[in-house]
Amino acid sequence: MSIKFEHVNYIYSEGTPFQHQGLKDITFELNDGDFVAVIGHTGSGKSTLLQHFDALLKPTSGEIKIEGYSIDSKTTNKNLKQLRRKVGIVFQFSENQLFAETVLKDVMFGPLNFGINRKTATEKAKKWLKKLGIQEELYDKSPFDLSGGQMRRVAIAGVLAYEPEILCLDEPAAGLDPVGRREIMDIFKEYQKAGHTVILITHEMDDVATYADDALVLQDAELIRHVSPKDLFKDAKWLSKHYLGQPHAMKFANRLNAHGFDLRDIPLTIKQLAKSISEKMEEYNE
Amino acid sequence: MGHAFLESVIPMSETKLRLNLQDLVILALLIAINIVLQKIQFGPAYLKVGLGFIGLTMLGYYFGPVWGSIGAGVSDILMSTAFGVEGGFFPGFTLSAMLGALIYGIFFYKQPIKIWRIIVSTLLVTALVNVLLNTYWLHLLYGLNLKAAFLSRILKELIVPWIQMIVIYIVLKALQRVKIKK
Repeated sequence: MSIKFEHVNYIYSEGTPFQHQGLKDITFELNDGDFVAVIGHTGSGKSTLLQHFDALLKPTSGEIKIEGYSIDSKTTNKNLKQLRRKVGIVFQFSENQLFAETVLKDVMFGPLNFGINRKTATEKAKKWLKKLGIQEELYDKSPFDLSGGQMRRVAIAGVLAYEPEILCLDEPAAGLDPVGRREIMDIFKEYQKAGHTVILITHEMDDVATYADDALVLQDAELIRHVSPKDLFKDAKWLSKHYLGQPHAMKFANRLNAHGFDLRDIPLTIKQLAKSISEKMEEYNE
Repeated sequence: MGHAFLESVIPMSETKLRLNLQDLVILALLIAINIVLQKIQFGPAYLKVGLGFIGLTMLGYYFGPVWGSIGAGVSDILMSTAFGVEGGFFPGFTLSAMLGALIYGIFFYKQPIKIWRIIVSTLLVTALVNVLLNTYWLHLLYGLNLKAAFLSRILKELIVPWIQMIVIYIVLKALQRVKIKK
């Protein structure tokens, strides 16, 4: 069961002076179990697209097929609860949605809302809080007493606690410290490897290179490319024309090559870069 | 004795009259929240059911009777400036909003959350503001027969307060958790 968008248009406030096209004739198909990066300039429609995955927004025209649901302009809010259980969204600055008396209760809110019984909900909440690095002594504290980074982790745990099939993330690591950022991204990668689909909105090309299997590039509400990160980053000219950049490892490798280093495979990640440099060095040493 | 009782309900000595800049900004935010909540309402002009009482509760809870009612008055004026009101602006309703926040402020500001405070304040707001004042304003505005206006509103005012009390209880419990950081 794949995720399919067919000629999806979305227009904000249609028929008013504030009318604005959010998505323009978007067509694509995503494989189940992929890690998909959605990239593009600010205001290109990434967040609008994300809100279509669990029908927070419904297309003005066109059709979306996801998790056995078919969503078009006539879809009503009835019966969408099961879809929203299967498609979890972590919004930008998700720490703003915390509200419950304690950290544990806040994380349990999602599972309980989707009809999971209290015992399982507690287990799941504790499991994901632990994975996200929230110590047990914080479970009974008010979420408002935590630091910003901890609040973000609690909010993310709240979405992971009902273990959605498709996890949509809107810049989940924005504003976190470098270590925290990597930890959280690794958790998402692990979640994908456990058999879920992860869709990530990001401005960080390094994250796209490191984690994504597939990438959607949006510009001015249109889907301009749907490619693997490897192919995406090949053409530096095309990237800069569309306000995107290459990952750091790639830029570095290109500079090495400009000085005659002659790396054969242009690496996408720091790890690959280190590997190809050391291989090259061994060649020289022989 | 009568005075001591009054003092226990309305601790005037604790009512804050001077606001610092931070308080003022928070007051402005609450006014904005109040306006948004006032906008969420259902029904025709003569019989509104809405969420405005939550905004008034918040103003009273955080700022007490004096600034709470000033905030409510400012909200009402700003709301009609920004959005307009059905039937045009009428200062009587500004007074109604201020009295509502005043009553909530008296009962909730710097007070422990008690069921009786919620019941008494809601009944007072319903009786004084919604039943007496607002009916009178409608009579002044539209020349409705007082008795007819009263009868058309009384059924709603018998039902709605009980729902409001439950909501206010939940809201106050939540507000208690979200301390405004100072």
